[in-house]
Amino acid sequence: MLQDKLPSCFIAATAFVFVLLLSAPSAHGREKKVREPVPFKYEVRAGWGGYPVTDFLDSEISAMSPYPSLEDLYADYSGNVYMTGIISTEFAFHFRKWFSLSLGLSANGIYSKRYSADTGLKTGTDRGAIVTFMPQIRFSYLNREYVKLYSSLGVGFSYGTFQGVSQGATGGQVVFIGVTAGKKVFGFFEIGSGTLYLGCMAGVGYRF
Amino acid sequence: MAAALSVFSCKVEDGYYYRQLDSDRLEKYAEGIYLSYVCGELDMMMRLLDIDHFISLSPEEQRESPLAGKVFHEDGNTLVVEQGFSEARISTGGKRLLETGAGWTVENFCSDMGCSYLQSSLLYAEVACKEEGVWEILMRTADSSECVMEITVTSDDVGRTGKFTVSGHETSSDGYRSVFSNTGDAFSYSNSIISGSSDIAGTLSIDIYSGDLLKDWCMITCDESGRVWYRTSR
Repeated sequence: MLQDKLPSCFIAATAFVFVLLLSAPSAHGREKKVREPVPFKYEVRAGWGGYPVTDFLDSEISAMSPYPSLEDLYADYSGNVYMTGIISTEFAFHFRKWFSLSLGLSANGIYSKRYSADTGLKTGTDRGAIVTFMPQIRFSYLNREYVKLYSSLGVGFSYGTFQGVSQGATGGQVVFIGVTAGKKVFGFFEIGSGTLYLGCMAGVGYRF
Repeated sequence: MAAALSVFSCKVEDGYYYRQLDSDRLEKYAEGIYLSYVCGELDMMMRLLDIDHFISLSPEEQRESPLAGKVFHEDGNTLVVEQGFSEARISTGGKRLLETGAGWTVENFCSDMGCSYLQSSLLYAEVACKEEGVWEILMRTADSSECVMEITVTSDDVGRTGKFTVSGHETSSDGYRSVFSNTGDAFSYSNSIISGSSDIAGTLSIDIYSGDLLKDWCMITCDESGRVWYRTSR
């Protein structure tokens, strides 16, 4: 349905992990000297983002023959397809000030209207959803009391259904940069690419 | 909540609005019927006459023929025709196609025309020689669609000419039925031995029914120079 931009995302994710591995020894060295206590061990957040880079659901397939069959002639057809954008909830465990693991459950709604080929009138609405479970590792490289900057990398599994097609697939997500503002209650905004969303996500969260 | 989501939703794919039934769609459907049932049956008849002529040749003459290596006797009553990715089987009943009273059955025949609309594996045809130079062809597909053609053939050094009438129907799984036939005079044709192609002139009319209700109609007219024009109900 959408342009498959996974190869560029994988290149970006690989480069990011490579840089991270190069900086890991120095981070570990700092920890040996002083291990600061983690102010909050847990975090919950909810957000709303864009639609995925590819949704893997090829439901209504275009006809291969240039000539419509008698069945094709009068079959209902699908109108424009819309997505609500990803609605995401996460629960995160903070192991270090700079490292956390989040477990996220997300849903992306899909819908389109159906029309009669004979009369052009609307005959119904198709609805579906893609549900994704995606653990992500999150690296914070700026940790102030009220502002944090981070990036994250995740691999998960999606299951979707729409217009009679149900399918599961593995996927991944890279957050290139994200920012949280607030101490216990915070807002967040991040920019990323993957099977969760392409573009940005924003939301609110609570640390405890 | 749903109203809010619909306001902020994004379009991710264009709708298939080109599938709205209009004159273009009806013309395309008519063209598919014409190419498959009319041109497909005519092309099959010309090829069967070529095969009938081939099997009458001596072995030395067969080796020089364009059909050498493509037509084989499986037994005294069955021919196998290589078609590239498939084989057609012809049951001859031990008779030449030119013999009055001869009846050939053809399975899995694939013509260049027919395969554009119908799958070759669905094609089954019965060809009967009613009298000298006159044949009746009944073609059926797996979904019970069929077409009957009565054709006259006159051969000379440059090719074959003649006339044919055609009538048939096809049915969809959702209850629509299209009925087609030549309108007015019979189709006339001329087939070239050199190119193998046929020039056809005549009019095919197609009526589409839902139950007893006439939903749509279309007519396709061809002339000897290859021009084609359409009339449709929309």
